[in-house]
Amino acid sequence: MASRKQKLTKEEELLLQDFSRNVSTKSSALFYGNSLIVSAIPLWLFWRIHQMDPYQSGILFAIMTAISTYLVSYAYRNVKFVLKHKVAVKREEAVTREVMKKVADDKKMSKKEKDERILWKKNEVADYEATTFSIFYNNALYLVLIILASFYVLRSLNPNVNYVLSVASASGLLALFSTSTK
Amino acid sequence: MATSTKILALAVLAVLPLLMNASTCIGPQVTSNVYTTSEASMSISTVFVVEVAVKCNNGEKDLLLFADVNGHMVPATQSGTGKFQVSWSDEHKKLPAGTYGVRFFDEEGYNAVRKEKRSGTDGSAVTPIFTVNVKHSGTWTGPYVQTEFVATCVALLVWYMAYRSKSFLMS
Repeated sequence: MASRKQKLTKEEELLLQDFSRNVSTKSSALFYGNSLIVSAIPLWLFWRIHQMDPYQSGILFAIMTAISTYLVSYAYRNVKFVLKHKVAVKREEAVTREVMKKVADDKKMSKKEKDERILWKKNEVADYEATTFSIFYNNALYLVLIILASFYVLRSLNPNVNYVLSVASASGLLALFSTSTK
Repeated sequence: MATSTKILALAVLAVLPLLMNASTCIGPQVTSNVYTTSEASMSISTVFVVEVAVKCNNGEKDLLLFADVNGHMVPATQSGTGKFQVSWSDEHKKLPAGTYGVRFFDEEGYNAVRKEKRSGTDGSAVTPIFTVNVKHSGTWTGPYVQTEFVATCVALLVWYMAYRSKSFLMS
């Protein structure tokens, strides 16, 4: 018996997207761009405050920035996924009200179509809010961890060692905390 | 014989002052340049440096100057024709902000001050050839709160606000 490939409905697609940790290309680009900028901030800190020479430590800076970029964007994805559902629940009422206000006069649209539109709008709003909040929250936490590690915990170490350990621990802890579901 | 010896000794004593080359500055015109330590965070003691350029009305050039620095007589180093320099240092708390009068003496004055001190006085009765007032505005010991502490507090505050928002969303 030949299996028939059935086309997924819009609702099923949205549900799959909802429960998947994968992000769209646009979100991915946004995450990597932001994480690169945030991971580059410690470079300025260690160059100007801890007096590290950027030319001598260039390779070290590049490697650690790349590792930090990956871990921070991983944290962004995780926190966004956890937050998205909660945001969707919180915003459901307001989104429904807004969409219904727009399509109330459209007699041609069936109830099913209206529900699909509400679901799509809710998903879009939740996606956007979760993305931006995830970036904000993770950036704030990353900067706190970097400052605490480099100025207090590891202050007596050599600047190169200080840089490697503080960036690694800050981005590592950020990735670890992001795996929490609470 | 004894009488002739006494007469010879008296003659030598009478001539001796004429043989000594005691250089005295009359009517000195003084220009001074003063430096004092302004920052205590990068230095362990406060340093005062006083540079004076002296021009005497009697054209005296071979001066030998001594400075009274906090009750101690120190020789002034000659850094050029008519230019002298005196410097001293001490712990920051022993040289607080204020005006310090540095009295300059020639050889005669120096000897007079020494004589006064030997007799138990502080030598303040001896008139200097000139005095330079050194104004020290004190040393800056750094900010009351370290900048990394301020940065940490601000970062923690921002994170706390983000954490509260996240907790509200997750509830």
